[in-house]
Amino acid sequence: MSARAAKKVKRNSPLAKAESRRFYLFLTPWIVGLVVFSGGPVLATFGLSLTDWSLLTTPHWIGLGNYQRMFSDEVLLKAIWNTLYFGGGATLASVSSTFLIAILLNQKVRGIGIFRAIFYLPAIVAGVGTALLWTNILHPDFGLLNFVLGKIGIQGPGWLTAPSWAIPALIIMSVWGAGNTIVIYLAGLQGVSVTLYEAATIDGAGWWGRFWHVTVPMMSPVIFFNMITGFIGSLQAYTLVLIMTDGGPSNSTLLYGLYIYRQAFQYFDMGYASALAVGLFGIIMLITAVQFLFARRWVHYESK
Amino acid sequence: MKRQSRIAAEIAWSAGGVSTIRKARAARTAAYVLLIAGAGIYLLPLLWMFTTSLKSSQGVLSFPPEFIPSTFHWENYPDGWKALPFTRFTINTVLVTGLSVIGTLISCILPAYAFARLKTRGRGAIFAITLATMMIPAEVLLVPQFIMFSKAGMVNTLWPLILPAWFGNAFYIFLLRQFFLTIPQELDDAARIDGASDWRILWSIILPLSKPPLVAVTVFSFVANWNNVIGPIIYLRSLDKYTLAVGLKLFQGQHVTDYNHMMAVSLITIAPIVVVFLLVQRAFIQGATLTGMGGR
Amino acid sequence: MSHEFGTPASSGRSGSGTSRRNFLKYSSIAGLAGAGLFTTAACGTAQQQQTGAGPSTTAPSAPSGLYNAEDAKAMLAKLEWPTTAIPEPTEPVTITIASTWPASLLERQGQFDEFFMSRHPNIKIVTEVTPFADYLQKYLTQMAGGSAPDIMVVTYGWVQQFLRAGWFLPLDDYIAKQTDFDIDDFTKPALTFYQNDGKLYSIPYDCGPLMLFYNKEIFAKGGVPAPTADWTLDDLKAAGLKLTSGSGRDKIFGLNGVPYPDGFFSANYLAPFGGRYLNDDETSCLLGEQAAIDAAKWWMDPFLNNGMMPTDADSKALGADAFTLGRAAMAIQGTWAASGLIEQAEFDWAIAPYPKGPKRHTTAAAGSGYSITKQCQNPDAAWIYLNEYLSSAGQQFMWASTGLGSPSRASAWDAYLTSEYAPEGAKFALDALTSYATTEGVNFAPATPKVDATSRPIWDEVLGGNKSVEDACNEIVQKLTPILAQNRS
Repeated sequence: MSARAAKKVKRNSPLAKAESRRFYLFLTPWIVGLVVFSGGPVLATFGLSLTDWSLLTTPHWIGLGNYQRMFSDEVLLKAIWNTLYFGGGATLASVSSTFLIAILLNQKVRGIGIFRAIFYLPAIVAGVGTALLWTNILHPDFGLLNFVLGKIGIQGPGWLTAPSWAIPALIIMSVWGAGNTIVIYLAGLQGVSVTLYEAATIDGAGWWGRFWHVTVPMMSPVIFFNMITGFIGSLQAYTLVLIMTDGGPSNSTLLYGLYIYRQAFQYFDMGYASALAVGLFGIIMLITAVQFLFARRWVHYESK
Repeated sequence: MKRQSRIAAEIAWSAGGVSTIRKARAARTAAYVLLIAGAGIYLLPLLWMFTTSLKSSQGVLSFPPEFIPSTFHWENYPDGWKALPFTRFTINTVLVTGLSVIGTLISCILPAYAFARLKTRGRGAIFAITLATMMIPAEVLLVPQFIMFSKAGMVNTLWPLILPAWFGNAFYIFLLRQFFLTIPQELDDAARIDGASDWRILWSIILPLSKPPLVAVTVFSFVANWNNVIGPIIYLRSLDKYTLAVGLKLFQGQHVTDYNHMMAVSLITIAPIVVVFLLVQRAFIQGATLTGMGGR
Repeated sequence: MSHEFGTPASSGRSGSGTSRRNFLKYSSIAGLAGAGLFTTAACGTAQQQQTGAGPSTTAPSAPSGLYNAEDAKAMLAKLEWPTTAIPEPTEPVTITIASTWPASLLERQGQFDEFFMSRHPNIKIVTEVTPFADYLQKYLTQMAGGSAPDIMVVTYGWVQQFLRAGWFLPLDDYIAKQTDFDIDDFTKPALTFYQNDGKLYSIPYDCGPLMLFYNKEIFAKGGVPAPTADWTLDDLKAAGLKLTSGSGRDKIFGLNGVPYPDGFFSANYLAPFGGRYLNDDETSCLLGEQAAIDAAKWWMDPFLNNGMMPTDADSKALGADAFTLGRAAMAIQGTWAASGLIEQAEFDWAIAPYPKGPKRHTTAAAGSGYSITKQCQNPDAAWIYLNEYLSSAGQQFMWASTGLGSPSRASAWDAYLTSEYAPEGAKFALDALTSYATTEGVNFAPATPKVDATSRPIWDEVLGGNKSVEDACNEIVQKLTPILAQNRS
């Protein structure tokens, strides 16, 4: 019997059928959610991307017009570049730095719970407070950041007021606010077995050896998870720039998400906004797929 | 089992002698130094909010900026709270957050288990679709979703804010599935031979071993619902239905923002989140395993 | 892709098995937390049903005592209210009103609504309040979903999009029936933004001109006499240059805000020199003309060479503009900025007339109003409300006596000028409205948001020193030409 035939038999066996039934039973709430809360709206978005809907008038079918428009939209090109710069920078910076913070927060020292809460605070304090706080910290003349830089002899840049420093400033902010990534790492660290460290110690590994040969490979699936979801999140980000810079100066912080928001709710062009959303979806898909391709080289699944 | 390995580790350490102990102490000190330095940076928002909350309306924008106000305006707290029906908003927020967190846990654990443990044709495809739903910008989905809830007559009720949480969330499902996958299959196989059903395996094996990711999902969905602004703003119309996050935003006018009252009320409203976090973070108990430093 | 996601399925970390069993002994924290929340949630549901059963509360419940209730009642009783020329509803009706009032003004709104309902027992008023920043997104979504409030607040910058899409009712018939409405009472520029094809779609509640605000302390310290009614823009520039001083933390700017190509660019910055940003129907950009380029250069010169103004980003960077912070000697801004200054500024300030230019004396005026939506089931009742709310008495109560200022009716100004909130020089604003303030050149056609977003980044380049004023003007003309075509209707 060929392997294929064997598989077929297995698939049709009563046991397999029962498992399939259970699979769909467990999945029921999600499939309903998928169809109703995501599927319908997603299909609607695809449909609307083929119209000139202004949100206030009846939509008219314009075929691929919105998509053609995307190819000659210079502002969109700028937004894509900003978004890749911000998304890549923010994801890599926060995925790496929060990993170290999480290791620090996983130490068994007194009061660690309080420290964890403190490091998670920026993720809780959302919205206007954060925006105003950071405009103060980043102010070229009065800001804390340039004050500290000045103390060590560095003339700080204008940050949010300088086109070339605005995205780095946003990246710093997003690292600071990445409390969720810390929590996911902490959760992952609970699964790294003590015995592995013991074995490594007995083999004579120092702290670096234990970190590099035990922690990093054991945590690679979690790092990978944070990379994937970090990219997805930061490529869609827009609320903070909406409050803080509104895309300026010189469109240097015009992120893709902000451009969609503008088209929809400031220019009243929901059709084009929908097409842009489909475009962003495509970009994120592509980046995610590339990450999965490279994942084989570095993501370590122990018992494979 | 773990206790045994711990004892083994202690023996290994004591065998290392005084130098190892000294090293561990130095490491612990280093950890404290780093933690305190980092905490300084991360505490900034809270400190800043606190001092702002004690300033007068004019002091908020005094120039050059002063960190500590000359007089403390504690009355900003009761005044801010009374400026809008914040007690009503709190009840609504607790209702939305509570029901959403419970719904999220239930509706994400089940599909995560199915994706991690049950094999069937089409599983991969459904999982790929699940991930894809995270990639569509939420801002455009909002309009079709609103139209749907509007047709269902749910505008100006809390239902559009609660119901979706009961039907799964791709991010949490993905997160839980990744962690469920790290639990050895042999444990379920053994239980299955003893006649355990999926429910039993999920309840007695998978969930007890998944405390950390469950805590993560609880915290994330708690914070996300507690702070959600755009959902309540879009769906709710009358003031008695509003949530805390919307109430806070009403301190921001077209031309002037009432920072001191806004910060005072903000601090009151984030307190419950901090308490919840402090309670549940204890699930991260492994500690001290990564670099071998820290106390035992 | 599904395959990759599936890979870990076959794996499982063998090493972690033993230690994981440890978790069994910990109580289910999540479960406990969940149970606790559920109890609270159950109570909440009961309460929600309770409120849900009866009609929802009328106006937003009364917040802190910013506006004394007894004083308010006395004032409301004393004011002269218009007649009602439209028949009252015979059955009880509810009118919903979408507003963007901050928390501080909701109390006042509640006082008015209560009074109104006592006079019109069959009309129930329900106020919906939305943070200003989210207002458009909320109501665009609501209207896309087919549900609109009965009455909504509109601002000059985007009202045309709604009325051209047919969402608002024309109000001319009501105005004709309401013989005591007195449409001539509205200040000259107030009604412009809300008209289309000869019909009026909104009643404005405020209309304010851009004025010259100045910091009296900086003027006194710099030994510069305060601005007068005879001032020209050259005087403004000379004073600004003289009062610019210091650097870094000690910097004082002569004037707050660099002019940007926005809705006020024509009237306040170019027209005084004979230039123009867009043409009358906003279908072409005139920034390429020499008069406009020269005027723009005149304004940008003290910024580029003397640091007389902070950049827009700079002035945003401390959570308030440089003038409010006391870092700028003067500011060109709308009278709507006065209420914020009263609340937050720590220095003495006053309002002066907008200076004259060499060619013309002109300043922009803008405002906001209320419209009745086409979905309104009881437009008559909605009109009865608007007629009283935006009458002279209504405006005196809501905007004049509370210091928000710039009422759209000239007859309501007196109550503002005599109120304890009126800043020094407030009367110059009324003078401006009756003479040199204009809506000519103030952009409000549908493409306005896109026009602003297109020219702003180009102007940023001028501010950054990367582009000459002339090049930027020409580039703006070129970029705006296709966008402005959308305004042809």
